[in-house]
Amino acid sequence: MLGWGVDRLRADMSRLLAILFHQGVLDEQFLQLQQLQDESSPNFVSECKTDGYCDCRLDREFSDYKKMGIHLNQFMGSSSSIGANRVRNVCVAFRAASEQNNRAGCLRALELLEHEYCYLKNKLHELFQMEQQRVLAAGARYPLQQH
Amino acid sequence: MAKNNNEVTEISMHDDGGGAMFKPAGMRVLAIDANVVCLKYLVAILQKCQYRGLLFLSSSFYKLIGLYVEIQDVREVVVCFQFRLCLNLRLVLSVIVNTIKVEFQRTVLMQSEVTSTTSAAEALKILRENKNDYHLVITDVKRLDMDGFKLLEIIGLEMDLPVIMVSAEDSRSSIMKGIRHGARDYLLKPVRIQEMQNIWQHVLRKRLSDSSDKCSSFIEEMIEQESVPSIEPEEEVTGAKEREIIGSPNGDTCSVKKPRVTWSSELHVKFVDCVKKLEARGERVQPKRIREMMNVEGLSRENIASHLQKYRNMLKKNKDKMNQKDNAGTDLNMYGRILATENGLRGTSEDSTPKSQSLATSFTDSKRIFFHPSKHNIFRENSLSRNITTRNSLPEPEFQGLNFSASSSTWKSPNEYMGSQSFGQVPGLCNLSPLLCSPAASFKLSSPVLGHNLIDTSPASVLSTPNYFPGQYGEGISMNLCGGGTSNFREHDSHCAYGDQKSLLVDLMNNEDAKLFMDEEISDMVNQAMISEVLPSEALAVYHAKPEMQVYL
Repeated sequence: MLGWGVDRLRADMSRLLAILFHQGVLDEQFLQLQQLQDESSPNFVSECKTDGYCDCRLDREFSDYKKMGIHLNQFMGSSSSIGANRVRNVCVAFRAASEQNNRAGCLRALELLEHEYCYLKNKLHELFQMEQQRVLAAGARYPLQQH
Repeated sequence: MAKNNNEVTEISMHDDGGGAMFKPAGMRVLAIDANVVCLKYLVAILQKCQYRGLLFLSSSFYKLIGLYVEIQDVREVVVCFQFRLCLNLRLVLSVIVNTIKVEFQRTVLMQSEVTSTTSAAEALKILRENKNDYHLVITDVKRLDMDGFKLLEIIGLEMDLPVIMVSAEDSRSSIMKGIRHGARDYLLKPVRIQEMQNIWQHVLRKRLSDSSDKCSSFIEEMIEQESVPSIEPEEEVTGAKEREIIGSPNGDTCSVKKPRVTWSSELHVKFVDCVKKLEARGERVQPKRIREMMNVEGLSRENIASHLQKYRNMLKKNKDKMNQKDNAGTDLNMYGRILATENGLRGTSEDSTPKSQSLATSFTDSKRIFFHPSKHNIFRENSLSRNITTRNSLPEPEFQGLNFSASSSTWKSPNEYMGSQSFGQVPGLCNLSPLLCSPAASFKLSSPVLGHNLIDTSPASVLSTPNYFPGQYGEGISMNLCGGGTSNFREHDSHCAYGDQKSLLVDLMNNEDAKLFMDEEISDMVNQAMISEVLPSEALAVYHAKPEMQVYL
C-alpha cells in the first residue's frame, strides 16, 4: 500500500515535471539543480521564491530604475540558476523594456513576470510537497533504504 | 555527449586536482554573490566538482584499469591532457592520471572548502584577514553595496588573486568591462558545473605567468611537493563563490612570488650604459635587448621594461624641467652629492673644474627634477621601485612632523663658497658632517652602494656643501630638524669623528632620509608618506645618466 503510494507519487512528480518542461517553465537547469542537492532542494527553491517575491514587490514600486534593474538582474540570475525558464525569459524582456525606458512595456513585463512567477511557485510547491510525501513514504517503507 | 563531457570534465577535474602543479585538488575559493540563490547554487556546484569525482574515480576507474604510472610522469601526463583535443585519447590520459591520483589519494577524501558571502565588505574583510588562504575569488557583477567591477579591481590589486566574474547579464560591454578591470573570466548565470570544474586553470595560469621569469625552480619544487599527496583541509561551503586553495594548506606555497629586484646604482648605471649603447648603434631600445646586454642574473624582461619606462619618464620630466626652470636657487648639497656620485661612479679622480654657473643651474634643476614629488611618485608607485628601497630602515615617524623651513634661498650660490674657508683641508667632510650628524644619519645606514671613492676633494665638491651647513657644525642651518639648533648637532659630534666619512657620506646618500635635508620640495615629499622609495644614490645615478645633465658635470 505504502509502496504503491511512493510509486504513484513518483509518477505524479514525473508527470508534473514533464508538463513543466513541456511548457517551458523549467529547463534542464532544474535537473542539474536536482542532481546537485537532493536534500536541500526544497530549501533552495523556497529561498528563491522568497527572494523573487521581494523583488517583485520592489519592482512594483518603480522607485528607482537603477535599483530595479539590479533587482531584476538578481532575479534573473536566481531564476536562471534554478532553471526557471519562462521566468527568465520574461526577465529578459523586462530588462529590454526598461533599457528602452518603455514604461508600458515595463509594466506589462512586470505583470507577466508576476504571473509566471506565481505559476512557477505553485507548481514547485506542489512538486516539493509530493517529494516530501514520497520521501516520507519511502522512509516508512524501507527505513534503511538510502536514496 | 553531455554525459560524456561530464565524465571527461569530471576526470579532468581530478587530474588537475591531484596531478596539477599547483593544485592538489584543494582549492580555496571565495564566492561573492548578492543573490543568495545563485550563491547557494554556486557553492553546491563547487563542492560537487571537487568531491564527487574522486569517489567516482576511485570506485570505477581504478578497478577498471590496473595501470600504474610513475609519479614523475604525472606532470607530463597532466600537461598532455590539457592539450589533447581528441576525445578518446583524452579519456585514456585522464584515466591514467586518475589512476595515479587515486593511487595516492585513495584514502583521502578531498572535500572542498568554499567560503561564500553575500556582502562585498565582508568578503574584503575575509580576504584581507587571510590573504594567503584563498586562490580564487568569484564575484558577481551587479550588486547594491559595491559595484562588482570595483570589487574586482580591489581584489586584484590588493590581494593579487584571480577573480572570475559571474553575471546574468551577457552584454558585450559588460564582459569587456569585466576583462578590462582585470577579471580572469566572465561567466554567465546559470553557472554550469563544467565551467566550475575548469576554474582552476585560471589560478594555474596566473601562477605560471607570475613565476615564468625567474622562478622555474619554484615550479620544480612545487611539483615535487605536489607529487607527495597531502591531505587538504576541508573546505567549508559557506556560500557564494568558491575559494580555491592552491597548494598546500599552509600559506607558504600559496603563491610563487617573484623575488624583488633591487635596482642598485651599479645596476642602473649598467642599464643606462646599455641603453646608450643601443641608442648609439641606432637599434631600438627594447627591454629584451637591454636584458641580453646587461646579462645580469635574475633580471627579468618585465623588470627592465618597467625600469626603462621609469627612466624614460624621468628623462622626459627632466627635459621639461630644464626647459621651464631657471636658476632659482641652488641646491649645492645636492649637486655636490651628484658630483661626488658622478665622480665616484665614473671612478675618476678629482674633477677640478668648477662650473659655477652651470652648477647653479644644474643643481636646482637636478634637485628639482630628482626630488620632484611627481617623479618621486613614479618611483613610488611602481612596484619595482618598492624594491629599490634601501636596506636602511625607513624613516621613522618622527621625521614626518618636521618643519622644514629650509628654502632654496638658504642655498647660497656656489660662488660665495668658492672662497669659503670653512671647507678646510677636508673640504667635503666638515661641511657634510652636520649632514652626517643629522638625525637622519643616525638612522641605520646600509652598506654603501656606490663605493667609497665618492667624496673627492675637488672644489666642486666643496661647492657641494653649501650654506646648508654654514658653520662647522651647521648651527646656521635653517632647517628645523627635530627642533634642533646647534645642540642637536653637537650631540652628534661623535659622528663627525668618523674615520671614514666617505662611507658615511655614501651611507647618507643612500639614505633617503638625507633627502630630508633638501629644500621644501623634499619636505613636501617628506610630508607625504613614503620617501624611502627613491634612493638618493639611485636618483643620482639616474641623474648621472641623463645626457642633458652631464653637460654640467
